[in-house]
Amino acid sequence: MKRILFIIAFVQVAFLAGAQEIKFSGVSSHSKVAVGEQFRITYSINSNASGFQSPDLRDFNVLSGPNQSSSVQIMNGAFAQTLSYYYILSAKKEGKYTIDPAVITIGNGRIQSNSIIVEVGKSSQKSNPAATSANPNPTQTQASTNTSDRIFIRAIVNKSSVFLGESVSVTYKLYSKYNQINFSDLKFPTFNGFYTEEIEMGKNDKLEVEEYNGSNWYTAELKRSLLFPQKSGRLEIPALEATCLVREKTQSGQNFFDQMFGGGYRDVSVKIKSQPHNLEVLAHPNNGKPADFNGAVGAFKVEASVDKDNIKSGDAITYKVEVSGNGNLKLLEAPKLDFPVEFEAYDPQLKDNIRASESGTNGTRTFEYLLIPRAGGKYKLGPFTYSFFSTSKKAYQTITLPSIDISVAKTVGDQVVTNRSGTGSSPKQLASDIKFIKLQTPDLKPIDSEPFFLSIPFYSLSALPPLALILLLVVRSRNADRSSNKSLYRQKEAGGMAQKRLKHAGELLKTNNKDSFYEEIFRALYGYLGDKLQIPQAQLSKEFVAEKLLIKSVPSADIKELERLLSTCEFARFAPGAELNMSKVYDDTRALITSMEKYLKA
Amino acid sequence: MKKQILLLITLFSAFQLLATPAQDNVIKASEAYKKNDFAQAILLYQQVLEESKEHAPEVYFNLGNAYYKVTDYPNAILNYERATKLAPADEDILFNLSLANQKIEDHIEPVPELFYIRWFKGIRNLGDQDVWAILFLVVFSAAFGMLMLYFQANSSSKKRLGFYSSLGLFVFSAFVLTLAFSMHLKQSNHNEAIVFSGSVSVKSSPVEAGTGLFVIHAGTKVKITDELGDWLRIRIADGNEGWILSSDLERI
Repeated sequence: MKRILFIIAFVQVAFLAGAQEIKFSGVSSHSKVAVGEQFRITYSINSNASGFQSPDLRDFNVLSGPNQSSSVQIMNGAFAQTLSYYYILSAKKEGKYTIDPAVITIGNGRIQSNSIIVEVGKSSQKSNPAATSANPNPTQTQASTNTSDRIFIRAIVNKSSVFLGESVSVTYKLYSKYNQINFSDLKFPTFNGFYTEEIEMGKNDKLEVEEYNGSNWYTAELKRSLLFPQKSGRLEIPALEATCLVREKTQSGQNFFDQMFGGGYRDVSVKIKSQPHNLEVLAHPNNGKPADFNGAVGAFKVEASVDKDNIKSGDAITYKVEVSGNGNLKLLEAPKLDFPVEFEAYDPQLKDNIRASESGTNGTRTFEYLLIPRAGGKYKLGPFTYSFFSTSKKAYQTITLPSIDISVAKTVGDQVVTNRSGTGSSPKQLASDIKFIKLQTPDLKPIDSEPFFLSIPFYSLSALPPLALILLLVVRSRNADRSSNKSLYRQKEAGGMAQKRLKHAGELLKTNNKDSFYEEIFRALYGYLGDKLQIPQAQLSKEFVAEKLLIKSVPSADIKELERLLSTCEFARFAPGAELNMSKVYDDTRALITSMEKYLKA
Repeated sequence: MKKQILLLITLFSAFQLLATPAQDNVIKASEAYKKNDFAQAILLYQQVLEESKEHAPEVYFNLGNAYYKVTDYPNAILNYERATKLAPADEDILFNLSLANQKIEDHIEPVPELFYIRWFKGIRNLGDQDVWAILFLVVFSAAFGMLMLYFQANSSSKKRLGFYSSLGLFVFSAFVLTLAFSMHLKQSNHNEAIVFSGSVSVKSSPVEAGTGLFVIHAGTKVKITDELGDWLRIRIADGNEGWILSSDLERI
């Protein structure tokens, strides 16, 4: 670019050398442009100047500028200096625009340039981006077809297959046969599915020469990134796109100046793009995955420490876990540590000292857990474990952090607080897990075994109580039968029984045993009637018997006779002195029983 | 002769001491579980159930635990459900079942039951059907005992005691018999099932083209209310109904 300006400056110097008058002029590369088309405006002054004031360019997109360049030429003893400022612009809208003059300070005075008129037409679909390149020289507008062979971008990826979380570096490098390149548009890709870390590059803008595919190229690194895949599968590392201006030598010089300075040049806008790459991302193996693994990948050393190990309750201590090494340090999550429940634990703070390089991120990440013990005593912090996936061994590794003893002294205030809180606390629930298996030997039964309920034994057992009741009732009724049979029997035998008693009374009559005689007569009568009429002994009375006899249609004469005999017996028993005809009573009783037997037989 | 008898006696006692293969497997499985070898424990418990065809609530419970530990929650729930079916009053089983139910995708709000049904089920689940059957026999016999007292007693106060207490005991025995029947139905019916397919669309009709009404996921318990070929009509805890292929389910 400098060269172009140099030429312009030289042309101006050549024509205006004699005049030596100061001229500040503005020129546009195109007087007519299309919307979106790039063009350049240049302000040049042939003197030493400063304080360039930009014109109002609100109607245009300023793609680059103001850029400054200067050239000094000594020719035929004359000294010529040119200073120029240029912008690369693109038009926003159609129309005719007048760009106001720019102002520059020379010595004590200020000088204005001319205004520039630009006509903006409709954007032309046909226009080749390479052809509409920003070119200050109106004679050179066509790009050569082989430009893209002479300039390209390579994306260099250092691995083709990585594990999840393993770093991969990608470098976008420009290879060019041209040693002068201006980037007008550089689209850096976005890496989807990756965590990206930029690798800082040296501030070296110079092009380096490198041999590639058998020839020498000017090369420059455009971007260097470290990528950490966040999902497994096939991920794409996208291409980098750029539009740049290169200066191409024309085959034949057309005018004097071209030939004089080694041929003609033209500036060509080229769109270049690197090839996209595919990266195979492998998931971490499932077998042997430690429970505390949370995505750390690389090679790490882990250490734990505390700042104090002898404190008072209520004072804070810091438990520090320092992970150092090479790997996805920036993505490391704080390990979940189970501190004793008496310790109030706060979310850990992160401290990083991490550098990104092509081999991955190196350094340390420190997790600081602030802990405040709430009760005195001796406690152990840990042991804890920290697991990561080792990319070199392709296996999980677990580092055990040894336990650290902490002794906490009780403070007075602490006691007051616990006393105020009341009746102590129930054990804190730490986690929930299922109840352990039952270890007693089970009482195994065949799966198809029938339950007891509704089985034959069940039915038989439930039939037992009703059967027992029925049995009881049967026995009872049979007993009742037997007792009623007895009274029938007695009814049948009543006559005989009475005869027996009378016989006994006859014997008593012979021995003249009065008391026993009357008693026997009395018993013979009542016994006979009681059995015959089925009257219980207790209910026997003269009146009742008479009533019953009447029902049985015994003649009243017999009833009267009965009543007389009973009265006689009673009288004789309670008045022993009375003289009565014992044999008459005996005979009458015999006669009465015989008489009644006729009626009572049925 | 003496020797032969001795041999017979030793053989007999040896048989007594030797556990059955199923018991042996249960002991081995528990050992494997203690060593966190859950896959081996599952294998051994399954052998008891499938090859020896023997079961006990403890076997289902321990198998459920092993499945829980390998995060196979549908199988864990299935076995816990089978365990509660045999031992409805065991609180450990209910506890683990509720934990396993928290791990699955569906958390269906059940339709609240009327309070007396809840009470009835609460009482019923205190024992299995045989417990209720034995209690029934005891109460039933006592009722008849009191009836006998009524018939045999001489004094009217004893008769009254016999009459009223037998009446009360008869009512009680009827209640216990109801509990036994209810438990019997619950224990011998296989109309509940666990979903085993990861995600199932429940259809409005028993055809593949039926409208999908709602989606249930593995581990959810459903009640089977009807059957048509390969299709089962199911109801979930919130009362929603639909048709599902029988291959998506495993009956409890």
